[in-house]
Amino acid sequence: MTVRPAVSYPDTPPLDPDRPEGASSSRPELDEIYERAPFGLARFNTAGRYEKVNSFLASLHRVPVEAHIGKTAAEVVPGIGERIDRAIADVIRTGERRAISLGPDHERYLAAEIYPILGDGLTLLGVGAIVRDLTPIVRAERVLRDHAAFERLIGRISARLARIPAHEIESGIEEAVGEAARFLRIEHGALLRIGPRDLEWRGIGESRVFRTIRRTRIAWFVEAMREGRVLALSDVRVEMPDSAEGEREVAAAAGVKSLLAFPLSVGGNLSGAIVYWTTENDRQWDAEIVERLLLLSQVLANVLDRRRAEDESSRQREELFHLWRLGTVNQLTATIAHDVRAPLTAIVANAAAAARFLDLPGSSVDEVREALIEIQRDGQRAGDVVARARELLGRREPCLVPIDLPQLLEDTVELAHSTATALGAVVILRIDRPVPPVEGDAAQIQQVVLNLIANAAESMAEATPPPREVLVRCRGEGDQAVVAVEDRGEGLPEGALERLFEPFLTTKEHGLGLGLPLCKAIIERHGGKITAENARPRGAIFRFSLPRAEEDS
Amino acid sequence: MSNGTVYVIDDDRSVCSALRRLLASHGYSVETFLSPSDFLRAYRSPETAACVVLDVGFPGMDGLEFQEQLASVAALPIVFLSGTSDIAKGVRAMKKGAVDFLSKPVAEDVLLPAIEQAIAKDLADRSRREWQQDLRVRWEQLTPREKEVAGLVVSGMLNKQVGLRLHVSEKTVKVHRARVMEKMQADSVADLVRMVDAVGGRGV
Repeated sequence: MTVRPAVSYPDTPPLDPDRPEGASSSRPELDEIYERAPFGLARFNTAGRYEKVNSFLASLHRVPVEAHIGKTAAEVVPGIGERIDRAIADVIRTGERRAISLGPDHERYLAAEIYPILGDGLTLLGVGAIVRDLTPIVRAERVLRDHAAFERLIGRISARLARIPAHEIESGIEEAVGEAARFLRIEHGALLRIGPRDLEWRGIGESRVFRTIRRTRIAWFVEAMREGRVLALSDVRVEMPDSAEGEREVAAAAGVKSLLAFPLSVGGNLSGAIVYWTTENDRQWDAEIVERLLLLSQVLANVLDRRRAEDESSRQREELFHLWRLGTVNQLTATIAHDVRAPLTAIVANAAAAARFLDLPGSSVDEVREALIEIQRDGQRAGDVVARARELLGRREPCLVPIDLPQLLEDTVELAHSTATALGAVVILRIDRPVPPVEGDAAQIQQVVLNLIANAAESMAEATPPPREVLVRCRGEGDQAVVAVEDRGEGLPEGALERLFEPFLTTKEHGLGLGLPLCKAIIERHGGKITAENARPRGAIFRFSLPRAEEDS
Repeated sequence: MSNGTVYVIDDDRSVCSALRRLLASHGYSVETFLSPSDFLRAYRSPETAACVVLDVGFPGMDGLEFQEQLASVAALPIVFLSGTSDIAKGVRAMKKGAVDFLSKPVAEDVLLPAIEQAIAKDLADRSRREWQQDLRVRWEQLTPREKEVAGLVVSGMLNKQVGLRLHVSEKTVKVHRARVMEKMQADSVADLVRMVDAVGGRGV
């Protein structure tokens, strides 16, 4: 861009080429502005040497005003001066203004605008320069960039933690704390686990316990964490209260100089703390760092919270699925009993209250009515629990579809494997093909098979010498498919054989004895039969049959 | 006139509501909470005698763990309500100072005596604490030398022995001793022994 002579800058000095250096200006107010401008101003002669500079520029250059006069920029400010001189030469040669940025020089960032000073007839009288100190702006930008980088770090951390398996979450958090510490150049960072009695302080990147401390010994610290306070101590020796004697000892033993601690609460309960500390030098924790690390600790607490909730629900799901799979009715009934107890408790208490209201002078019918309404509602609720349980117990009508029995048995044995292993038994499957096609409700048949396998495995759990095998066999017998589950346990007591499938007969300590009756009900609804007998030389065999499916159905 | 405050902690709203109704009809002030942490957050030391009725088997916080946490905030007697009849847990809870361990559903004539007993225990605890507090104030009014004398007297020493130990005359010991008895408002040495033990002043 060409600067036309008509353009004049507010900071342009009086354009009087003949005026000798240092002479007082004919326009003192302009000189005043020149001198006081909050940016650097300079005027070079056509040889590119300083003619005039204001104090601001002198202070930017850290060279007195007088020391500039008659010199080139390179002579006054080595380092950045060469670039200024080159820009001046360009301006003199082309008559066009230049903008250059300089620095960092002594940690400073400067921006210079260099422009020609033109007299009448476009004669070049000299070169002017406006120099701005951009350091604060650059710093602010850097902080912002830094901030953005830290937020990205947090983003990465939370994305990573959301994916890792539950058992790795603690080491994941420790790693995240380490990363944040490195980012902010803090020597140490760690996750403290606060249990009901002790606090575990683990070194970062190590799985070993670094130190276990009684909660009572560091009551002040634990209390601060419990109250949700952030502790930012630049000198732990002087900034902790007198009562924090134990804390001071622990800090001294670990060589802690400055400490920053954030509570980690999960589900409203304090479960730990994240601490950062220095051992080399004291550190002032500026608000910026505290704020960032607070953000991180909140993110980590969130991750823990969410994971815990997820684990809880997936655990419940798994448990339910497991119960259903094994058809261990006893456990299911225990769960039901538990679920029914709450409404029953409410009903009993409400009924007692209602009866009391009737006796109590001055109480109103409304109070009685309210109690009765709640009783109705809770009665309904208890009924719902039972209905749900019935459904789970498989009382619903089977949904008959063609099933691949051998495949179903393979899947079932696979499912039963872990439970059997836990009981010290192995499950062996033997299929004699061809097996006639059958129809049934796959889930219910599976439940029956699992139940029989579980019973068989349990019967051998005690006092049976290895090999503790459960043999599952499947073959066609005439118009039926027959499945037999055989164990090598004690066998069934004589006389129990006929009553085995009656409800509430159990030889087991736990359980309500609903497993086998349920199996019987399911098989009979499928048009089949279930029987039990003792095997030779030992053990029991449970056998069920399913009728061959009609070809055209 | 309130018979005391009962804090009911149960994750089931119906149970909270029903117990509130029943206990209020028996003249208790009732506050209900859906979780132990809710309770711990809201807890302010009550003016009246109080107790906690706690459902055990909260997901996330064990009833026994809560008992420990509660003990660090306030010493309130706890009546446990259990959804399962876990005897081992019950025994442990009782050993830690629970007043009762009842299984759900709980009958009125079982629950109410348990609560009465818990409230009575809290009342007794309170007056014991007040007495101790009072004694501590009295104790702090003693001079260091008087505390020394008191400590030695309750350990069974005679005035003469105390004097020898402290290198003062028997007469001086008598004066100190009289001041101790007066300031502590003790009627007898036996009385003083109880008091000094209560403030932990033995062996000063």
